[in-house]
Amino acid sequence: MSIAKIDRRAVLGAGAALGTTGLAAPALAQTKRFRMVTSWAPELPILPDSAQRVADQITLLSGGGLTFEVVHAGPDTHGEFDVLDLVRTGRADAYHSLEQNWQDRHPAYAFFTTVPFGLTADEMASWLRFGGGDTLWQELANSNSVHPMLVGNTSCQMGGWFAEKVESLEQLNGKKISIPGIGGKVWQAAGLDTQSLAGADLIPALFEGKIDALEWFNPHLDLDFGFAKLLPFYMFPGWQEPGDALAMGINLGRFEQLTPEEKALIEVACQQESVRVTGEFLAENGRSLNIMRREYGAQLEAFPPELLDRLFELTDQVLEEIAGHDELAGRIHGSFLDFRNATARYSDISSGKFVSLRNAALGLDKVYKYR
Amino acid sequence: MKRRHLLVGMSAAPIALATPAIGQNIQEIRMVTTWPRDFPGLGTGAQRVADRITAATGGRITVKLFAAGELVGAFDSFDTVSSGEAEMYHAAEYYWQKTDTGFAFFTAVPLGLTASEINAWVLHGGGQQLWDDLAADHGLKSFLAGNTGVQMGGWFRNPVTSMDDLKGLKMRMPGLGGDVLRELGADPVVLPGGKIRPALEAGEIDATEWVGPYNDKAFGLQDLLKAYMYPGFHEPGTATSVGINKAWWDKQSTADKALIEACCTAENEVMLAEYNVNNGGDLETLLTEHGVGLHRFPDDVWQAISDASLQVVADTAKKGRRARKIHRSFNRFRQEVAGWSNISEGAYLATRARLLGIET
Repeated sequence: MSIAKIDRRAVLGAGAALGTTGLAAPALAQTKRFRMVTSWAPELPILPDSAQRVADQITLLSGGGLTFEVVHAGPDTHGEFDVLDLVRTGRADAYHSLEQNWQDRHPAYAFFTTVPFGLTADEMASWLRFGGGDTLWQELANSNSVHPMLVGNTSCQMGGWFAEKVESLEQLNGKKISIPGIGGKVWQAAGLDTQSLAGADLIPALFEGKIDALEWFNPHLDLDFGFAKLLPFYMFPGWQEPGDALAMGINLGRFEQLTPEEKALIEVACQQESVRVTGEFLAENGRSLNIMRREYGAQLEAFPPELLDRLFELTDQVLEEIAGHDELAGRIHGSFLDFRNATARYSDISSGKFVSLRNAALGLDKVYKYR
Repeated sequence: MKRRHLLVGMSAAPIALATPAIGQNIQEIRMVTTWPRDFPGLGTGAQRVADRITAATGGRITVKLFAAGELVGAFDSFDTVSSGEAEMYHAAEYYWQKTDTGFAFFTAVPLGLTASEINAWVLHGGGQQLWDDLAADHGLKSFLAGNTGVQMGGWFRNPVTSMDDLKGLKMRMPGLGGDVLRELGADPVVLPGGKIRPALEAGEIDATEWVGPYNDKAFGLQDLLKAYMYPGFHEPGTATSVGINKAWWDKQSTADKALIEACCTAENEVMLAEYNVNNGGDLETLLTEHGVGLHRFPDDVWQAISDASLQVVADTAKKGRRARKIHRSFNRFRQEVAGWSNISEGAYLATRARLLGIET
């Protein structure tokens, strides 16, 4: 494996030299090489391809002046949670990952991926660029020697897979659920027995009765698991992760050595990829959800309002705890919630109500109903 | 000698490397737009695309922006670029509906796609290929380059409570939205943005739509009308675009083509982000400081609007040479994602609004 990797790298190097002909002979001497490590197993849908696409795009846009070699997570490379450390210490130059993976280092990282009852994909882009979010993100990430950038969003998740339609919180009391992150903490506080299993362990755990319910990701990433055969009720909304922002982090020292033009190029490439991959998730989630419903018998049901009321209260407490971690966490929490509260009404009456009211007109209200 | 000189230049600023090689070929090109200079959101977005292309190419392609009327009139942008008098425009494709009704689908149609959905359709649902074929008929190559998000349902003297309220109503609404209103018995009026306020003051129109809270508030519509209806049906995610003269485009290097496309695609995220932050804040200000009332279209009115929208769009699609095929692709995609959009963002946003006590 490692030999194959070296070979591939050598081939890529040769390709770059040939590909940039003419112009390129001088450029080669100046090529700035970046090794980008990801948190994705190569066989995952969309995510590893998105990392590769933005890497290739940076190389193309820079005329080969910048090259990004992508190394995905795996048993022979690195663990998905190792990538910040690799970049922070200069053993890799960049990562493509989720900022929530570094919550052990600082809990406020969660706000730059998603938190329960937080921001949608569009809102996250807006908070970061125009609502003060990016300044706070730089402050947090710079303290770990990283320059971070938004590079996509998986969009709203589903609420998870259950054996029965969830009618109340009491019904779930003591049930065992696999769910990662802050959503898991909130379910735990609500009386469930939570754990976070790796993808490969979910189906065995279901068969062995180690879990009664689970949340994995979104329709497209859930599709191949076939969860609906065992847990037919696919509950929504995905209150716990309304839009997971994808992040690229570049080693701060290396980033600062880039010219203004190179920085601008990388920023454009990341924003382009953000639009591309967010669109790809939307298209594929729509398609996958239809397949699950038609072919796998998934039943789509909404969580009852009283249950969501309780989860919302518990979320407030969990987020307050994060805010209390230090002064920076307090500022991030404040900025994030102020933005959410200022924009929530507009989002609801514009795109929210439009898609809800369009639904019936298209004859979809029998299966995709929400009030 | 020259070569060594180049190398020195390169080590100082690697990106400029490319410049000397094509050094003789620094191109200054013209972008005409359909917007007033620095018009918030649309004009600022066009300027950002122009500036970013210039910056990203290290000045190899320097884009000079001409606002509406500065070089040609807004609606002459299409012919100006198609004929090669200017290299690119930043506009909304539905302005070219008279040329081919298929263009409307790449901006917005009544009961159509939201901003994220139109990105998904164009970039992953076959939309770009259909658009390329349509644009090539007219010597153009086009990309999505910005989005205003969902427009509001408009400003009225009193809330719309029944279909009767629409009968004979003189409302400013251009394009297919206007056709929908006509189907419902209203009297749609087409006016440029700057004429809306005078027409309201003179009693020439009873109601109007413009864009959304950000742009509407800047026009002072809240001073004249107090009932703000939602959701907008006519433009659920108004996409803006860059159209490029195809003969010029075909001569550019692969890297420069990629750079131009990247700057356009990136703007879809940035312009929408700019609209969202301002729409969110300005809506609150309109409600709390200007006595504006926010009202939802009643169910029966919405039902009639929806039916008329589907009909008007289908009729329109029959008229354009390429529009039928575009319409089929557009409808198929909408049907595939609409349910998901409803139970994901639709349900989420409604839930969050209820929990925050701002349910409307």
